[in-house]
Amino acid sequence: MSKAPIDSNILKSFHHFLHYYQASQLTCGVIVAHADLDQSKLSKLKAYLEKEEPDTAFQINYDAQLGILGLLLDDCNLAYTHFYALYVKEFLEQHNRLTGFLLVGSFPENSNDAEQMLMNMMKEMTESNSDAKEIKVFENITKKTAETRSILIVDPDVSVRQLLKNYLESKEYIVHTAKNGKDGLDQYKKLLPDLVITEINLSAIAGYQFINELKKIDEQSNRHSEIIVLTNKQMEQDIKRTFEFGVAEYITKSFSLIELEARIKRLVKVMG
Amino acid sequence: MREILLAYGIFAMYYVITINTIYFGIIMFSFKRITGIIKETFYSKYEPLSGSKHVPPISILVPAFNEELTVKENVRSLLALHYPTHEVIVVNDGSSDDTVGVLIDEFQLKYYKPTFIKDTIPTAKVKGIYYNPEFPNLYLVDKENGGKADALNAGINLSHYPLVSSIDADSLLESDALIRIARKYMENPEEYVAIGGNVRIANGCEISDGMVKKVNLPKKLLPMMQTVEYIKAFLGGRIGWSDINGLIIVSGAFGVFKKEYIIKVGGYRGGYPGEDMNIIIKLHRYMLDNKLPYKVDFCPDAVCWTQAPDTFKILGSQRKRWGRGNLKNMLEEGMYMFMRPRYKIMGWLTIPYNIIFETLSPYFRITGFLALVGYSLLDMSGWEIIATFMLINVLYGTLLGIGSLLIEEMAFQRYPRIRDYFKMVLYTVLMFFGYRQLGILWRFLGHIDFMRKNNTWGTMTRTSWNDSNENKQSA
Amino acid sequence: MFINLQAAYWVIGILLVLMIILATLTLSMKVNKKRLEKKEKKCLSEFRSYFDYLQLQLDNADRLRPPAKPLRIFEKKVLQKTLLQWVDRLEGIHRQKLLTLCEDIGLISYNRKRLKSPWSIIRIDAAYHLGILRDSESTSELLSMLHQKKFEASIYIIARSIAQTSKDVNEIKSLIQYLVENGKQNSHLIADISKESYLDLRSVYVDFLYESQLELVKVGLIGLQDQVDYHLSEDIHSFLHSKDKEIRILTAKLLTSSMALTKRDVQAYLQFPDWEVRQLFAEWIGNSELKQYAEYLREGVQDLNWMVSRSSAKSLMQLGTRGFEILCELASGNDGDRGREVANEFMEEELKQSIHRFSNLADITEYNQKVYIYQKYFGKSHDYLIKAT
Repeated sequence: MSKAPIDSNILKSFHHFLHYYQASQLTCGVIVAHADLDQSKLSKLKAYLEKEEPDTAFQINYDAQLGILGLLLDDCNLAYTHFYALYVKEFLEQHNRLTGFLLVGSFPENSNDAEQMLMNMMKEMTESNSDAKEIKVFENITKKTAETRSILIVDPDVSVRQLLKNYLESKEYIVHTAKNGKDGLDQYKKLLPDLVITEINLSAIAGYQFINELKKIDEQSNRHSEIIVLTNKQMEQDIKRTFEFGVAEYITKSFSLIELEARIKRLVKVMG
Repeated sequence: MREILLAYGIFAMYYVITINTIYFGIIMFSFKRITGIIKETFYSKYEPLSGSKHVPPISILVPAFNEELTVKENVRSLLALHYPTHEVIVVNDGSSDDTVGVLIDEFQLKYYKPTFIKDTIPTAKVKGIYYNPEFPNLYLVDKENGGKADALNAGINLSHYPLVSSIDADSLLESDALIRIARKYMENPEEYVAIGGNVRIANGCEISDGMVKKVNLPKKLLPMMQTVEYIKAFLGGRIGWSDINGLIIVSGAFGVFKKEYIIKVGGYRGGYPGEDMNIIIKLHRYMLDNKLPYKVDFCPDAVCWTQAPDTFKILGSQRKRWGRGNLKNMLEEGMYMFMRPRYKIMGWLTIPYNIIFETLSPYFRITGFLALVGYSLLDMSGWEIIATFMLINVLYGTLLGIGSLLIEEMAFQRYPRIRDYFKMVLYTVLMFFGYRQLGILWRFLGHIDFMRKNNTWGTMTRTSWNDSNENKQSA
Repeated sequence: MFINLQAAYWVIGILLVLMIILATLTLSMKVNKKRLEKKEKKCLSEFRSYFDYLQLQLDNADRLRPPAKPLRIFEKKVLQKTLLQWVDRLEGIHRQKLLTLCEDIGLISYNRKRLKSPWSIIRIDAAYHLGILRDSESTSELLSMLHQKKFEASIYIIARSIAQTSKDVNEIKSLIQYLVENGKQNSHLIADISKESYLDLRSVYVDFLYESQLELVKVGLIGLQDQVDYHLSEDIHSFLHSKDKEIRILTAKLLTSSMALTKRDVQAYLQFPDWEVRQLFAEWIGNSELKQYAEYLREGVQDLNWMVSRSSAKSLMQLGTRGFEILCELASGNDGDRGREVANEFMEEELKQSIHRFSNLADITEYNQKVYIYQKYFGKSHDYLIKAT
């Protein structure tokens, strides 16, 4: 690495803008991307973005030494910045110029210090060695709690696993998934998570047997995981029986992510 | 003499053409029904339904005889079926191996005196019932040997729910198989007395944890033959038969029944194989005798995977048993329904078809074949005629097989590879060169067994699911 | 003779042609499916970042934006598949946001158009998707589609969509009436379908109770079971004298779920002629741990029906020491031989089970009390005493 991110011309050129946003508490979005560009491609990109989203004012800069592209979007919250990044990604991909991941962030949603945010984003760009070509959302380190809680999701339904994993990960939990009772049990033994969210209609090992086994493992290892049942089963007998098994919450599908997260939060706090 | 032999031979050929033509008609009914099946299969929401409190509870009956290798995995996967409320009743039919011990160990079952099993249907003596409150929907009934039918009857005596499902201990249900049948049942709970599931051959598939993980065609000859045979019988045949309410069998491997009527017809008949066909004929007869509206149906998207015999010895013994059971059923029940107007489609079509073209087929075919052989020995001048007829029969049979494969492709697509299709077509043709003839011979031998009153379960050897898997991988 | 070789050759020809046609058809379906699968996979990977965006921004107040580039029909279909799976699983604000997005993408207008297709399979597909999309403007069209169609299994697919989309209680009411009149004893399936509606159907169900058609009464009774705070009127009890057995059973279920029962009701229903009703009430007492009714279960254990007898004994197990004492009394034979064996079995089971589940002092106290009661009837037993360790 020839140059530290602190010297990057992206930081320098965005400096006074950020300062301005910070001072007047106005919203702005930042996108940085690993890219391999030259001057002509850069102006092409600029033209492309102006054409696709003409209402958005932006600053653009490219650090050739670091191979990082920087964009500063005026008056853009995180949601829109993320969406805007899809254009950037599409352009870079079409021209085969994307060399790594993109990182998006927005002031003041992601950080209360605009300059510090860009600084940290640049750091993450240069330090991370992930080469997946995807869009990541910047997470402010200061926001992160010292200990994150881990959650194991056991559900045969791939959509449920995907939705929950993404949602809970955005809420700073460490999330693992398994698609049947047997797989879930193996993962549980390995990970010993703080919380298990499970369906009752499981294959290989049925839900009740699965919960039963969890309890046995807990007993042997003298620890405790909370269990939330998230299931298609609507019968009262099932609710009664799972509570007798020591399950903390019983939620039926379809479900609200917000409600589920609130319950998780409460349980995790109790565990404190 | 020569003329007579030839004439008889040709008659036998026409006989086979007639069978195929009737079958062709049945397949047309299958095609008629297929769009309906596609709609139900893809646009019904089975996941929410598998937790709905409006779905009727089902008792699953698993007769087990010397199943120590497979029973544990099997019960586990039955308990894990995606279904709102069901209980699993394993009935050990006096096994000489450790079937009972394996289950007691796995689920920590405890012994109870058989006080709570009622003798609604008389059975062999029940020795005890094993149960563990931690698995409140699992029961193990230990009884003295009395045959599969007897075991099913004992299961019915213990069952708590109005619907019962019979399942072979060596077959695996897909996790949504039960809810798919239940949805069909819920459309018309008054009239459905029995609904059968689709049986597919598991040999060659990747299996673990009591589930089919990846569907493959079998590698061995005999299971491969049975795969195409089953697709033809179930998709080409049973969908069509069920469309005209003339289904004569719900496979013993997987079916759901209304308990009330099973008890009313006196339960499963013991002593002979073919109790699965017997119960259906009895149900038809009872409902028609009492002029009750009813339906026996087939649910092709509810799938049960079964292990097919892969040696000539075991397959032969299975087919001989089928032959023997079929003959018994026709003598005991079929004869009385034959061409009797009150039995409607059963009396006019299903039973006559089964008696003339299934039960009696070995006699026509074998004598016809012998006549042709005799004729050729005397004189070869008619060879062209014989060859033409044989070709027609092979082609006709193959056409029916190809039609069934089209149904498979339209609605189910379990074998998506193009290579698999050609392989299945190849075996559909090959079936007519040896396998089919062998089947007819076995059926005939089954009839001979029947005359000799040989009533055992027949050779039943099983390999564990895991073992067969390992064998496959090492092969 | 009875053969005509010429005709036979013709037959061979026809068979061959048919075989080739069917095989070609099958193969082309296979190839086509493969092609579509590949295309879908490619399309999904193109949308990956977009799906990430949706999931990460689900929580944001902003309206979710449709993909930037104009979508081809195939891409819409691929999006629809994933998005509707999410819609189906989620509730609340997130579902609402996704539904708005689906509309923005044009899925609703796309499916509305397909509803007019000449192909029934496409119409069903569209109806199914419009249901998940909760498109209330399609309800009337779906209803007319329902009425035009022959009554067969796919009717229920349309019915579900109507229940999902309708904004008008009367539409649901006429839907149910139509299904009842044309179907056969399908009240449970209907109840499951009407549950899809987000409307308050209480008044509909209550109206059904006073219909002359028994099937409608059943739908009403089943539907009311899900209405938590519904206050049942007194005359619900009269349905227990209905000629239809299922109505009697459903009424019993409704009564137990409403908990609106007096002591006298409970006593009477435990002696009801239908064993199903007796069993329901016996189970209910145990499951709801209604200790005040323990005494009534004594007769239940002595019931001639084995299911009632066992359910009553099981319920007594759940009723604490008083329930246990009744089991002991029955097991000791004080009340005659009926039910003695069942009581004995459950009594011993209870002792065996509770010895394993000590987790706190209260459990131990209760256990000791039970052993004490046991000894009162059966004398000292060393099997059940807690041994000093």
